[in-house]
Amino acid sequence: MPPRSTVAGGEAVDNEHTHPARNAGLAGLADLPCEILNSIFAYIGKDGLAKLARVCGKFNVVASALLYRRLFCHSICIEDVVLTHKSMDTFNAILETIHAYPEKYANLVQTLQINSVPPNETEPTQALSPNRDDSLINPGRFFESLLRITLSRTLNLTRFDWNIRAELHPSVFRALSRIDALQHLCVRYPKIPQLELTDKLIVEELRSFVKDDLSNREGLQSDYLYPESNKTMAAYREIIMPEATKTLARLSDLKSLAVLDIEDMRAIVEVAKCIGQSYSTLKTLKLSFSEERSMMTRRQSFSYFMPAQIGPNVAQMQPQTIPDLLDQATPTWEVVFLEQSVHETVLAYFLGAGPRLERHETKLGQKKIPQMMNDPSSQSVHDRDFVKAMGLLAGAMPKLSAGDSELWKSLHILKHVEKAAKLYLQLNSQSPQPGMQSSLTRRSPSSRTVTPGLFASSRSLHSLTDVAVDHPGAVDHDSIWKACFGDLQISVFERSVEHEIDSSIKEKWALRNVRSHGTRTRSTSAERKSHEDYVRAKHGMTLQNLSIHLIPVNPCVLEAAVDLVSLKHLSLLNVGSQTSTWKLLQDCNEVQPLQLESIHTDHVTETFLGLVSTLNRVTELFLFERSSQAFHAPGFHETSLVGISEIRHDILQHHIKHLRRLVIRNDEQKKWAMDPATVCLVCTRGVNLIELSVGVNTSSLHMMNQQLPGLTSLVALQMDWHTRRTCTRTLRAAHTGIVDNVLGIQKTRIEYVAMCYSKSGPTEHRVMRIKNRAAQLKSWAAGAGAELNVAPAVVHGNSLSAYQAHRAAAVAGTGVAECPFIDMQDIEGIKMWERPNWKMKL
Amino acid sequence: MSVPTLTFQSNDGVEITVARDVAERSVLIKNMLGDLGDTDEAIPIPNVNEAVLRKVIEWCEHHKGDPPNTGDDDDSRRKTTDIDEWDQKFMQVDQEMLFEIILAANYLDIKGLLDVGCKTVANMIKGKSPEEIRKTFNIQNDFTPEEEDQIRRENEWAEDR
Repeated sequence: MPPRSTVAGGEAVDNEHTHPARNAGLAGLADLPCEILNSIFAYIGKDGLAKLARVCGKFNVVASALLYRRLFCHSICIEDVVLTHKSMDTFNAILETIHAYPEKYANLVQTLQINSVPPNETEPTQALSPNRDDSLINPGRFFESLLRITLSRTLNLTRFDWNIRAELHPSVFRALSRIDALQHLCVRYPKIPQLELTDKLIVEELRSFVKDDLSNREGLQSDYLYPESNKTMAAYREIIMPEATKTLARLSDLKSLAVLDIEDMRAIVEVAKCIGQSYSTLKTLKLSFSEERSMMTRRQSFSYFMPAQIGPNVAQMQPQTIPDLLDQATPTWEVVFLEQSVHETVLAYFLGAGPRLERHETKLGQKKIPQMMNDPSSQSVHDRDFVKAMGLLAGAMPKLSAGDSELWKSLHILKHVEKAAKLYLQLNSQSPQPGMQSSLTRRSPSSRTVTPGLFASSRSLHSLTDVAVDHPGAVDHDSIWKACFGDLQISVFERSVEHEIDSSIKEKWALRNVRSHGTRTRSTSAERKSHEDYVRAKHGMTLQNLSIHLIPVNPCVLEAAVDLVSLKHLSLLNVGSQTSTWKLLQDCNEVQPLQLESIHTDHVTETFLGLVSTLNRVTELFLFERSSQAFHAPGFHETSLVGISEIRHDILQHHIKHLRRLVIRNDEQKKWAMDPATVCLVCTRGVNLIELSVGVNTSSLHMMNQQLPGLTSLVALQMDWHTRRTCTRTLRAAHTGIVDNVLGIQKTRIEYVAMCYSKSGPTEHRVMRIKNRAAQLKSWAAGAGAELNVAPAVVHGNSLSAYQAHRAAAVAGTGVAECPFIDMQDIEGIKMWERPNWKMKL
Repeated sequence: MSVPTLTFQSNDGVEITVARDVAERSVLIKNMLGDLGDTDEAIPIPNVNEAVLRKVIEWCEHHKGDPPNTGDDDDSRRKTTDIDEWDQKFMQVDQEMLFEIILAANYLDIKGLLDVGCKTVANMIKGKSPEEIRKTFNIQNDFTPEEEDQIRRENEWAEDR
């Protein structure tokens, strides 16, 4: 029998004389179907693909498709000229190849990404510096032209990411609009030279959007701020508004859209148009203001109303780009409130929530809220409590009657009782009682007059604004909730019934959508509009992923504009108080189970814990608490009162077995540092965790180290050490001690271990990578000691530690290459260390 | 209570009995049982011979308790070719068997096994020149020297320098 070539640990033992597969006419590598070759080649880097493309014709086709599928230029960084030039040269070479052989390569391009690699900002001192930003990035007109020409050839492009804060010329958007295949778009807006107040045109646009019939009331004399005559405004509108179809407004039918760092408020018109044109197809939406734009209003409002409560660092830092509104002749409070109102309206404008919101609030606000708010001890409040109690009882029945075959009957009866009670409430509330006043009119006259109220028709939102005005830092969430959502369950319940009734219709719609996409035939504008109106009116946007940063989020808007049941990922970062949003979701979940599996938030409250504890399955949780000392984005809500024991009890005990990524990071205080019970819980039941970031104190650090073997799926571990006394040597010793421990654990996959002190953010942060983990596993499999084949490498840092030098020397003796320095940017696939997540932004 | 079982019939006519939960690692089988219901008859696996089928079942038995894969995580960690120690030993077979296992995993829709197979082959390819790849896998070069040089120049940007 002829000898066979065998695979020994991934290395083939070659035998050039006999290749049985080939000789017997059986499967050889070249005989595998292209889809399998594609799967194999996907594990190989671009250098390997370039070589595979020269092996044979079949490999050339598969390797070229992978090589040109995703083109990226990700080193535009003004501080690293060499790296930038190298990356730009490579990118230009790719584009030149595509231009030289367009028939061969242009159609292979599916993704085009331009990213910036910012300088390392690991230390808080660097993060606090106002001068460290991406504002100087400018790839140049030549580059842009090259890009535009490329886009004119890459007709199969599905994703375009402009992830740098540089202006993108309208011609690029024109080129993008001609690509029918384009589905995913990410755009960052540039910094503008000088921040200014929101243009009056935009204010008017927002005002007309929400149909504010009280726009000229005494509270908001915007003409006072904008002295242009109406004639000038009309002319201005004629000139400027047609301009608003040059960039994003050209694009439609996108599946994912990320519009980030919006600084010039004129951009919102185009963004809203783009979202409106992609309404039925959009599944992922990311929106954010720039930090400067957001800070402009909020900082001014803070300094105007409560100067004594501003942190010392924030008070001292007044970037010159922010106009000094206090010196202007106009009353500052008007400016501030106008800007605040504009910001609060933007999300509704983006999501097209105007008409729906109006209906929603008319239903809630005019019929039910006044009654509740003006007579809190009235019978209706008791009735509402009764309904809530019934709901709780219905929820508790399954637990109490586990295994009871009559359970469904009981629940059925309870539902009927609950429905009857709600109907009773509705009937009662339809007859308005004389002399009723909203909370707004019951407040002091001064607070009433300062409310600008772009949403003036919404009484509930008035009350929101009022609270924010009086106590910007300490909002009474319960009163807001009661004001806005006392009867929300009813509306949600109604909607769930509508859901069931309309499900058959919805399916037909979905089918129609699929057909239209499959054939790329666009429906007529009238048909399309009626479709979208229907979807808007009945369900809201069927988003699966929604991420918002620095844009104020009003739960009314989310409820009105988004189909909350379809949401799978929700990220709310620095959007003000989120308590009402969590309460809204909690109530929705009680009526119809939400599909939320992933949540990122920087406002962890008891309401949030209540929501998460009722969710069915959560696989990803990023819980942040911002430091009040951070310059770029301090939290705009009160500090969390929740501790680690509450997090353990309400979240981890329910979900730890499902969680794959867990981040519990508190930059403000050490209340979230792991306690022994939490360490035990996470390390014994967190078998599916692949990424874990937690705060530790000295005792829990040692406990974690001992119990690491329980985390059998873990790949990356991050520990923020909360301690008063900080010493770099101690930190390094603890870090290397943990890595040593990990090296000795056979049943773990941990590849990265990171540690830092937590002092208003990560300090002295370093990541150590356990290299050659595969070789270690292989050696263990072979029964040999593998310790010497494994070496940690410092990823973040400027010098080799003595420990690593020692390890590197030991490794060198075994023939393994010396550990190279690795930049943190090279760590791929670890979501918690991706720059936006690490910086708690988008 | 006995464990529910299924019987597979390989393309060379051999019948192999396997526990149902093990067999359901194959999405093809799982869906088929979902559509057609339970069956006592042998399920023919026309594209797979006995030796390969036994190897596939061996892998499924070892991994029957694994959590199901989620698509998003796979993409993010696509580049790593680390292979579990047991899987490495499992894949120490000749090339013919390796490719047959990959084909069977693809046919039966067993994603975990397909990934392990692909990673194993990828590890064999990594670091080799075109000529070494041809030699390792006995692949015929159908390019002329001029064509090969032309392709090298086109993709020069991708090569590590």
